[in-house]
Order: sequence, then structure tokens, then C-alpha cells
Amino acid sequence: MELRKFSLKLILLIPVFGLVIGLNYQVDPANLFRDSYERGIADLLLEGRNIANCTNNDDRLVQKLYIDGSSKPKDIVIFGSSHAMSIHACFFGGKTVFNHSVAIAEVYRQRGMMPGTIIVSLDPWLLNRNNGQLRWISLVGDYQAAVRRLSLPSNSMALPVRFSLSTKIYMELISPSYFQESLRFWSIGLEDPQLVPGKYYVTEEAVGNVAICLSDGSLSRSTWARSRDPDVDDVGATDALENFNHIDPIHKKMFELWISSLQKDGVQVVFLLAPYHPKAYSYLVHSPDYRIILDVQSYYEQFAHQSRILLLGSFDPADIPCSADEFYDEQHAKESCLERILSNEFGSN
Amino acid sequence: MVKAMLFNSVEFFIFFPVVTVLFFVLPYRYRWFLLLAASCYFYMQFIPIYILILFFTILVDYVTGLAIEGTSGSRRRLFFLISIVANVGVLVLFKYLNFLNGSLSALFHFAGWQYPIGPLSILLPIGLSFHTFQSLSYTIEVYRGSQKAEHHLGILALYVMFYPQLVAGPIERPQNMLHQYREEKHFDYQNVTDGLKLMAWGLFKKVVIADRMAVVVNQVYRDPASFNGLQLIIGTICFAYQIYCDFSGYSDMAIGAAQVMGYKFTDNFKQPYWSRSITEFWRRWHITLSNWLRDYIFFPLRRTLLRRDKPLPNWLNLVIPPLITMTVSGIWHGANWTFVIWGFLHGFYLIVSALTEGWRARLLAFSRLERFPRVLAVLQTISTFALVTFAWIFFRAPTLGDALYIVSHLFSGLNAVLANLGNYDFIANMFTVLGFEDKVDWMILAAAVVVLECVQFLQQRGQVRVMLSLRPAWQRWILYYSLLAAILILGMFNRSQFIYFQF
Repeated sequence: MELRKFSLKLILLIPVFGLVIGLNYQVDPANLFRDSYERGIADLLLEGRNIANCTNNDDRLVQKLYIDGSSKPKDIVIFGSSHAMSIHACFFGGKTVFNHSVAIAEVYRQRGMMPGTIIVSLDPWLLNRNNGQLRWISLVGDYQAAVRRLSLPSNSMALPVRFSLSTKIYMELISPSYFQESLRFWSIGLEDPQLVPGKYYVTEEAVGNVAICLSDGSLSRSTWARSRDPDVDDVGATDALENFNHIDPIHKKMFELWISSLQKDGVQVVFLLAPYHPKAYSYLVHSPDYRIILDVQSYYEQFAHQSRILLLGSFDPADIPCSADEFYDEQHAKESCLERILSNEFGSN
Repeated sequence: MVKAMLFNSVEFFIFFPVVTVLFFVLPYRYRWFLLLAASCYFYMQFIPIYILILFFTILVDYVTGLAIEGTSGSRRRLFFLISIVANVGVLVLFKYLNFLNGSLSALFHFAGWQYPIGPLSILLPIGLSFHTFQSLSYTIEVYRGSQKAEHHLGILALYVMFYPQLVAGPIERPQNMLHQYREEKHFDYQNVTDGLKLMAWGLFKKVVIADRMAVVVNQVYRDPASFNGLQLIIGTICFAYQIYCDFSGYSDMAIGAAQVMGYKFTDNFKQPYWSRSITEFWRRWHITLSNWLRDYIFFPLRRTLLRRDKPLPNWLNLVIPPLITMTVSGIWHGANWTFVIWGFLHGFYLIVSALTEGWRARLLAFSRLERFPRVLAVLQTISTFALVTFAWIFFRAPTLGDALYIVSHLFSGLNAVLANLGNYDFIANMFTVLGFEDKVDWMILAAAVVVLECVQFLQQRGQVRVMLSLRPAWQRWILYYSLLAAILILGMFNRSQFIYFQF
């Protein structure tokens, strides 16, 4: 009797939960529940279009779909993270270039389209076992193929991580913070649908009021991001560097095997160390918890030397040199800084 | 940020109903195991290996509890001491070792000597002080003979680990909880709905008030030198509300979650900022800790002093127990000199309050304020709130230097503020730099505090639950929907931890 009474009361709450789940699914601010979103972006990139407002996508998936739709290999491709996103094709003269800013070599290999040169932008956290990076899971099939091919030990990790990630995605359906974001996007859309973050559209411009995904795969930041004076704090500098006590031997081995497999495929590998903002770098090297980035840079330099790989740049902005106003934030250098690093080797003319 | 299953997380919104449904579906004899397994899972969301610390102290308390009950004389005392040393030892090792090491290092540095040991890399187990004190109260009560030793290891483990109160209390006594874990709990409509309402109210306090206040507090306390005296005062008052809503919100959710399953926890807060004296404040703030300190430190200490062969002067009997008790309270909260001073300051308040009782009574009679009891009550409430809030400066400031800076600059720049009281831009800018650029955020904050104080006003007069039940259903449901809408739309769900998790 009491249970029945309680169940009836619960029914009165269904509209609230229904509203939360419905709005989260329908508005879906991070495009978690829509498959067509990434394909649309990839198709436009393949057509050589610039796309404005293309945030909130699964960039790994976009890159994979892009390669699937490509017909000719590139002269140069760029792998790495967001640190390398501002490297544009114009830095490399007339060569065909695509900036993936995510490591996606296995997809190229499987499609038989390995490029002539791969620029690998190296982050310190690549060698941190606790870097918390799960974004590679979008490419889990290709990841596992690479793991098998290189006889790496960690393929057993993929399934639970994928399960955990998909669980997390579906939990967003009932997430109050996702609901608030959905509500915000919905209200912005009522005023002007073009202003909804992630609602992408084709543009001829290379720089605009919103971020633009250029047809060469690189990212052009908004005019606002370009003009603002960034707030540099410790938190922004330490992303993915938490609990980084030592260079993880497994990650190191995976990295070395992967690089040597690229070399065996006849690819010219170039390492790029993108610098930190001067204040962020100073904080990292003076903090006992993050000083390890010095060891990581030494290791990258040593490995590059042993493997006869050209290494450009440094985590230390003073080595380039790049000044504080050549950064978007703690970790992301502006085009002028990145072009300076690459110009000696590749030249823009 | 340390990973944990927070009461304000989506994970908990799934975990709690699943465990509750299983609890009522399972036969009575398996329920203790379900709750224990759920509590282990809950705790292991933090650092899984740290559960061994809990297992260790539970096992020691289990064995020594039985041994204390079965022996007498010096052996009984020995087992009691073993349990105390094991529990306090774990607390010292994980919470205070770095503090002691750092203090020694500073002392050596001051003396110009080399100190060989650097900072130790130890992550504080979540809620360590809470479950240690709860474990200690079991041993002490068994030793005192007021509680029988628990023969069921699983039930004792559940007493220490029951997930709603595992990481931030209430700190329960074995007399209140152990028997409850043996009782067969049935689905009770009143308990379930009251518990859920209390959880919703606690969540409102946490995500709408505390986490919104945190924006201002963090801004001010990150760099106090950037703000004038009025902004420092506003930041500190915001912290007073933040910590109250954060901790009492957690307590409400813990009490509510347990109540849904039929378990009754002790109330932890009773409108503490409505207190008219510091003594009353400590009867209303973190009640279970206050009672613990009172019963296990204050009273025994006072009895010891009064029973001395050579009695101490009366004023010393008045000074020593509160000063030591409150300093221990400060140390319990955190391994930092700021917490020690916070506790010491409250001890000082209590001593001054006791020593000046007669003088204050004469002043009251002289002022004739007693003829205006409401005015008197308001004045006493405001002055108590001011004293408590002043002490919070030491609690919140990251370093002693920051705390002293704030204390010494509370009235700096006030002339400029007074001169610009009519200048809207000046006032608006003063609030903007405190963290909220939009005045709507300030209005939401103010409205939320008004709602809080209205509810507390009603709580002073009786049980809000009962008052609600007397209203028509449509009015009640408008309130429930409003509460849910406020949580969903105005809540800040950025996975901010509960402040007391760190203790």
C-alpha cells in the first residue's frame, strides 16, 4: 500500500526527469548522441571548405572520416594535440599538408596512404601513465590494430575503457550540468541559431568571430581569442600532468615502437616541442610536482638523437624565443611562434 | 582535485537509488552485507587501496573491543590503549606527519640548522578524521562499559563504514547505530519521502548557495591583497555561509539518505548562526563533533583537574578545559597552524564568555536592554555571528600570513567606500571584481540566502516537514517543483567537493 502511494508520487516527478533527459538528448550541446555531426564536418573539409564554429566535435572521428574520404597521400601531416592545432599549411610553401593534431597514423597505414613526412608534436604528458586521456577511444579499432601489430601489452585496456566511456556518455542524459548547458544552447538558439556553439557553417574567411576549422585541418582561433590578454594560472598549465612522478616505461616503449614503425614505413619523422607560456613554464619547472617536464624534454632530445630524428622547438619558450604575447593561453602558442620554430627547416616560401 | 563519489554527482544519483532498491528487495539477513559492499564501493571511488586503512582499524577495534569486554584490570587498559594508539596512529601518519615534519623543518631553518627530511608525498584518505573519531567512540564506550562489544565483524564494519556518513559524518555513537543495523527495516512511506525531501534541501544548500558563495570566497582568498576591507568582509561573510551550507547540506543529504532506508542519524546542525552566544553556537554547529569533544575530552579533563590532590585556582579550571578542547577541535579540522589558531580562538571566546559572565549580566542590567528582548536577541545574534565569522578567516586562509593580512586590513579602504556610496559604477565595480560579473548572479545569491533564512526561521518554530504536511497538496508540489527547478537551473554542478571531505 505504502509502496503504491510512493510510486504514484514518483509519477509526478516524471515530467521533471523527462524534461532533463529530453532536452539533453535533443539539444545535445557536446554532440554526444549524434553520429552525423562529425561526418558533416569531415565532408566539408574534404571539399576544401573552411568551417566556422566547429567546436564540440570528436576530432579523432572527424580525422578518421577525413582520411577515409581522401584519395591522395599528403606530403606532410601533423600529429599531436591541441598544441599543434595552429600550424597551418601556409607554413610549408607549396606542399600538401594536413594538420590532424591527433595521432592517427594507423588509419593512414590501413588506408595505404602514408605521407612523406609526419611532424609529431610531443607533449610531456604522453609519458604520464596518469594523464587521464581517453579521447583515443574513438579510434579504438585502429588503436587495437596498432597494438597487435606492434605487439604492445596494453590492448586489454581498451574494452573496459570503452565501456566506461560509453557509460559516461549516457550518464550525461541525466546530468544537471549538461542540462544547464542544453538550456543555455537552447536559449541562444532562440535568439540566433548561428551563435549556438558547435552549430557549424561554411565560411570563406580564415579568421572570424568564432573559431574556424580550416580546410588544411588546422584551427584558426576567433578574433576574441587572438586579441585577449590570457589569464595564465597554474591549473591551466598542469593539464594531464597530475601525478606525473616518473616517465612511464610502458608509455615510453609504446612511443618508441610507434616511431620506429613509422620510420620503417619510410616516413620522415620530425619531432616538434611546442613551448609553454613563459609564466606557465616557469611555474612548471619550479614546482616539484611538475619539474619532470625537464626530464621528459631531455628524453625526447636523446631519443631523437639516437633515432636520427630532427627535433624542433622546446617546452621552454625562451629557447625559441617566443614572448608572452605570442600565446593564446598557458599551453597554446600562436601562429607566429609556431611558424618561427618550423621556418628554419620547412620555410614558408 | 581528488576523485570521490560526491553526493552532488550524477554517479551518486544512480548509485543511491540502485542501492536503496536492492536494500528493500533483498531479504533482511543479507542487507548488512549489501550496505557494507556498497560502502566499500563508495569509498573505493577515492583511492581503492586506502580501504585497507579502514579494514585495519576496524579489525583492531573488533579484536580489542572483544578483549576489553572479556578482561579486567591492567590487561583491559592495555587493549584499550592498543586500540587508541592504532586509530590515532593512523590519523597521525596520514594527516599530521607532514605537518609535524614541516613544523620541525621550519624550526631547524629558524635555528640555522640543516633539516634532512623533505615533504612526504602522502595523500590524505578521504574522511579520515570522521571515521577515526567514530571508531574511537566505539572503543571508548566499550571500555567505559556503556556499550557491549560487537561480536559481528560485518556489523562493526558497517558502523564505521556506512556510506552516507563515512566521509563527513555525522560522527555517530555505537549506542545509536549498532542496534539499528540489527533491526529489520521495512519500506516506510514517511521515512522515504521525508528522507528524499531532506536530501533535496541539502542539495539545494550545497549547489545553489555554497558553491555559488565559493566563487566569491575563492576570488577573495586567492589574493587578499587585491581587495579593500569591505570586500574582505564580504568574502569572509560569504565563506561563513559557504561552509555552513556546504557542511550542513552534506549532513542533510547523509541523514536523508540513511532515513530513506529507515536509519536514524543524529542531527548535526540546528541553525547555528541564530545562536546568541558562542556556547550556544557550539551546541548547534557540528553537533556530533561537539558532543564527541565534550564527552571524551572536555568533561574528562575537567573532572581530572577538579579531582587533583592539589586543586588548581578556579580560573585555571575554567581556562584549561575549553582551551585544550577547542584547540584539539582545530587540529582535528586540519594539519595547519591556521586551524590551530581557529580552534584556539574559539577556546578563547568560551573562556572570556565564562570569565565575564557576571560582568556582562551587570552591563545588561545597567543598559536595560532586557526590557527589549527582541532587540537584545538580535544584538546577541549579530555579535555572535561576527565573532564566529572573524574566526572563519583563520579557517579559510591558506596560510597564517594571509589570515593575518586579512585581519589587519578588514577596515582598509573604507573611507573610499564611504565617499563613493552614491557612485553606482564604483559599487558595481567593487562587486564585479568579487567573481560575479553579472548582477543577476548576486541577486540569485541574495535570494537563495533569503530562502535559507526563511526556512531556518520556520525551523526555529518547529518541524518544516510537519508544517508542509498541513498545506494543500498543490501548494506542496509547487514547492517541490520550485526546489527541483532551482537546483537544476541555478545549481553549480562543477563537481566541487564538500569542504569537510578533506578532514
